[in-house]
Amino acid sequence: LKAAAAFFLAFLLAVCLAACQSSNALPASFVAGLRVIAIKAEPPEVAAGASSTVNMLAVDTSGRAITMTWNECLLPPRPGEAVNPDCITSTTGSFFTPIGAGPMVTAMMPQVTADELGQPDSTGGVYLPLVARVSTDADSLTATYRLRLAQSTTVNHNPTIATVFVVSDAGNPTLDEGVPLIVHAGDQVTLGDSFADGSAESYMSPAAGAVVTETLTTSWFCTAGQFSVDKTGGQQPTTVLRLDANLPAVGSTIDLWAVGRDERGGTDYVHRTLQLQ
Amino acid sequence: MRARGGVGALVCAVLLASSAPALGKRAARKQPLAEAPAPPALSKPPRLVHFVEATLPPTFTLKEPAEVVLTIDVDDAGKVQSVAVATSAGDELDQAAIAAVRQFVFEPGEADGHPVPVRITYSYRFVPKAPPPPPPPPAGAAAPAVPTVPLSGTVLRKGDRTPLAGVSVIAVPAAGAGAEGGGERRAVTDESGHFAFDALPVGDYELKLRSPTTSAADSPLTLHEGRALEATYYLESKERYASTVRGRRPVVETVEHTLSLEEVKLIPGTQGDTLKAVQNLPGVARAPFGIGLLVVWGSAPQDTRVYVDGVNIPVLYHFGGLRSTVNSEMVQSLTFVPGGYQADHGLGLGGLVEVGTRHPRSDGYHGYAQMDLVDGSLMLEGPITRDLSFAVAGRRSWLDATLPLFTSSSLQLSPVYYDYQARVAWRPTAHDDVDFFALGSDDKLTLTAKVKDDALTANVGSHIFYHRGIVNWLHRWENGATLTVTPAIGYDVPLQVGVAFGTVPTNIDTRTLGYSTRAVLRVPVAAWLRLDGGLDYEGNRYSVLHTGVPAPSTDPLAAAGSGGTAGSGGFSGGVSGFATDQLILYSNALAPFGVANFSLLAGRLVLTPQLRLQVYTFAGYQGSPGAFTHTYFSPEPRLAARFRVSPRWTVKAAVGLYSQAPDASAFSQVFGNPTLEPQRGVHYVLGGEVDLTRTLHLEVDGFWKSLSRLVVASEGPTGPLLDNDGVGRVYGGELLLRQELTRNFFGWLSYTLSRSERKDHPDESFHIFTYDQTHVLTLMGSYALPRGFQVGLRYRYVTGNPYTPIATAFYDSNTDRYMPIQGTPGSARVGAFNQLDLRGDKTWTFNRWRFAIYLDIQNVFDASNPETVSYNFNFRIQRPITGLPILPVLGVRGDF
Repeated sequence: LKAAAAFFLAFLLAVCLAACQSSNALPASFVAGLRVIAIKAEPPEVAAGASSTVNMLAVDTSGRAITMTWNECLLPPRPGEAVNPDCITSTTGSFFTPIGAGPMVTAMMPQVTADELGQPDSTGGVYLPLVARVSTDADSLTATYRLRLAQSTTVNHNPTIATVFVVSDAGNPTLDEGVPLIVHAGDQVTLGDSFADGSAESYMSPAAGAVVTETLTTSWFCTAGQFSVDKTGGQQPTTVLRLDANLPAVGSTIDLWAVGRDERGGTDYVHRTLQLQ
Repeated sequence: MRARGGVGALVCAVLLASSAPALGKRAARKQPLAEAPAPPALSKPPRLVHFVEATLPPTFTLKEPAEVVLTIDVDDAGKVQSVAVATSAGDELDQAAIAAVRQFVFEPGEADGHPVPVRITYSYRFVPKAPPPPPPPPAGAAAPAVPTVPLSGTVLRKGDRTPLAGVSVIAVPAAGAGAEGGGERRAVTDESGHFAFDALPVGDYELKLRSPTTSAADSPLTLHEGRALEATYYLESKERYASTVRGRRPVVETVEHTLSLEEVKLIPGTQGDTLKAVQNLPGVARAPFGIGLLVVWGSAPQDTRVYVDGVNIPVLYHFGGLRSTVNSEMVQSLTFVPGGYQADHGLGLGGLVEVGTRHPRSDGYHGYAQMDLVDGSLMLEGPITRDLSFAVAGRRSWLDATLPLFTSSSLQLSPVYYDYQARVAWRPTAHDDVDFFALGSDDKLTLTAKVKDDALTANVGSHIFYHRGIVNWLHRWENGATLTVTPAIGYDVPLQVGVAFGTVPTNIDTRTLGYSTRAVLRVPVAAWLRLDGGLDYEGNRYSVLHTGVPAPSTDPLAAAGSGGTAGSGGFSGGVSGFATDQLILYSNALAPFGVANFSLLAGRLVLTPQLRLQVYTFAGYQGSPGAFTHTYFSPEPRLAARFRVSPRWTVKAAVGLYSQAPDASAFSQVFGNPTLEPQRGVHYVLGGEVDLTRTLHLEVDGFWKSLSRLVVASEGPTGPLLDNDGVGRVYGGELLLRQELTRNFFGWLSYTLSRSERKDHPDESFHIFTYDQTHVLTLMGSYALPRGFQVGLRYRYVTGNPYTPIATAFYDSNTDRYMPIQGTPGSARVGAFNQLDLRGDKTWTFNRWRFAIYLDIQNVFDASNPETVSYNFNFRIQRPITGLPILPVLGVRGDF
């Protein structure tokens, strides 16, 4: 108990100290260089033997060509882990099954039982890790998507982002794909999004011990400026994009992505643009 | 010419009464800190039973009164061990006084009913032989009838009104004035500070008050016929600190260093908190984040046990180590043993901290009030009846009000703590003391931290407290044997925290009902043998409700240190595993123990063989399918030895077996392992002490600790999360060079060189332990300036804390987070810590009270000391998180 108390104190003080000290590190929502923005599987939950189409949204702001190679990893994670570390640090092994290359691949859930995929998470789900090695000639990273194993007939579906909008006094105009929003240096743009009906599904939550409705969240990414919060959803419906730092040249196009997620691996993403004038 | 010793003997008695026994405690190593001036300091002061008059050389003529002040070491047999001159009156008188005092025999002083060696200050007063009486008046001449009146009074110490015994009160008739009844008259104050002249001729007098430990005072007074006079006088103490007492604890009879509590209160950086001084002693590493945990000889904080009056308490310090949970003014002694301690204690693989509280004062009502930026506290004590006295104290923080002035808006932190102590002391008979003591501490914390990393935007609520009710009965037999029985009951919440990171709640709620009894019988069998034996029992009913990810972790600080702000993968949603478990665990630890103290070779060799028969029982999930009951027996022999090579040199050694129960939460069938066994350790200590001068001491110790059956995360992919596969080793040395308290200065230099390593499984190699610190250097000193000013400094250099670096990270699309993969445990360190603290005090002393103002400045140079590291979102960029910047704390205090 003392050890736990020690951890608690240490953790709190680390948080306090970190929060009180400014950081020059760029936030995760600012996209520069090689980044994986999202991975979406359709459907996101499949039964053993069924397959799913997996799409990766990866960008490199330097314009370099991106390569992706995919593997399924059958090593179950240990408690507290999202993915077994050997799936990340190893490049070969009998637990790897190559499933293709490129931004879109098809993954098939092998004939496994839930126990073979590890312990269920707080939503009761177990997952098959799909590991992607993403690289350009200058950089590389590893990304994973965990495909949920369907254990009942009621499976999860991807949420759908219906609109992305700007909050303003003159209504909330939507941002449409292909129609850039004109912005200026110093602007503060309040952004929000909405999901299509039915995106938030209900399921039996082991953590709550009851049927709960999914909380949908949206992660925001941009190639300029800085968000007030990187994720919206729940009590935080909007974020403010402050265009006071990390700005490109006037006249440039700024990329904006919104990635919606549910709690069980369901994903959707949209791309919008802003033009700096 | 002969000297008169009566005055000197009385002064001696007074000084003893105002001195505290500093009870050395362990054979291996320790720095007991003992309060100096608090009465009653000794349960029984030494009493002079054989006085020897000094003989002056025949050629020497004493023309006026003179006084030699001597420092005398009286051993626990009442014999004078050494004599030194503190205040000289000339070589002839000094030598005569020393020769006489060496032949003195005392009835030894006692503490807790045991004879203890005591250092006293003794004033030997020489008075010229009285001139021959005047010739009788001629026959028939009538003697004038001079009326007389009584004169009485009390002499108190200025500031705190402590009765001053042994003060010479000399009534000198004013020249040319009345008082024709004779020459000067003398009286000496008793232990209550009272003096009395039954019949002084009326007239004018000059009343002279003289004592070697106080300033002199002269006061004119006039005695009128038919009017008795009673007066109160306040004398200022010459000593800024009370005298240091060198003592030994009865268990092992080894001379140990002592420090006055008055001096440790003035250590910079402690804000006057006595118990925080432990952090400056050798063998104690600086805990990560400076949170006040005791990391002793490379052991984890939970391995070091803290006792108050023989009863274990779960936490010594409030949140962040800002303040100790026991009021410093209640403390009489503080004993710190980093390892190799005696068989009367166990249950821990690390060190031992024993806090002894003092009896309330019975010489009137006293107290204090103190406040600074951190908190405020009050204390009141005094007599209820002749045999009954009380003390109550309380403290409450106001950090919740002051912190928002210094923190950013992204962080709302509201720590509130309080503590209390209440004590009633009763002496029903001359042989018995009964104390009732209640104490407790409460830390409540709410934190809302909004940072860019949403996984750490957390709402945290925590409430940690403990309460204890203690009864202590001490019985003393005529032959010196004593029996101490200490039953206690307590209720703790050592950890209760609810955190919601993302969508995943993590809750730990632990409640403990504790009940314990300690009984110790000490019997002096012969001059060369004392036997101590007793029973040490601790029972606990733990209730642990745990919800979260059942991840194997016994090294949480490593995780915290490695993760920094972004490395909270273990808390994020979407990770594997989620469970809830409620464990009711009954834990009993029973240990009869025996200690034999052999004093051989005229006391030069002290051998202390000991045996502790430790029995553990753990019973959990009773009445459910997972019910278990396990019993473990751990015989723990120990041996300590000290050998006084010369009057200035001593060598010492100790070896012993120790054990420690796993944390209660580790017995969870979901988050731990119900079959865990007690952890074990062997301590080896070898050291030496030398008195470089009378007040400058050097102590060097080497230590080795071998640890086994440590609770670690299990290796296998299935089965219980924890097992007993871990082993460890700690080795190093430490040095303490200490300038003992003199009139104006004290200070010390302590240095510890150590290495602490662990091996979690047999097939692995040793790695650096989370709490390993190679170098720990502390230099501190304090100097008393004239006019009530005091200045002090403390400098610390500590090797940076180890942490586990992030080897790589990957992007987990399901949670939109980069997940870290840790590298080799403890394979990196943060930068070294170095800090200078300063403190200044100014005290105004009035007759009936004192007022002080102090400024305690931590981190004077505003050094950026890294406490841990933080990473950016994808763990590719690392930066240090530094500790507190310069922190001035201004406070005021009043004592009465």
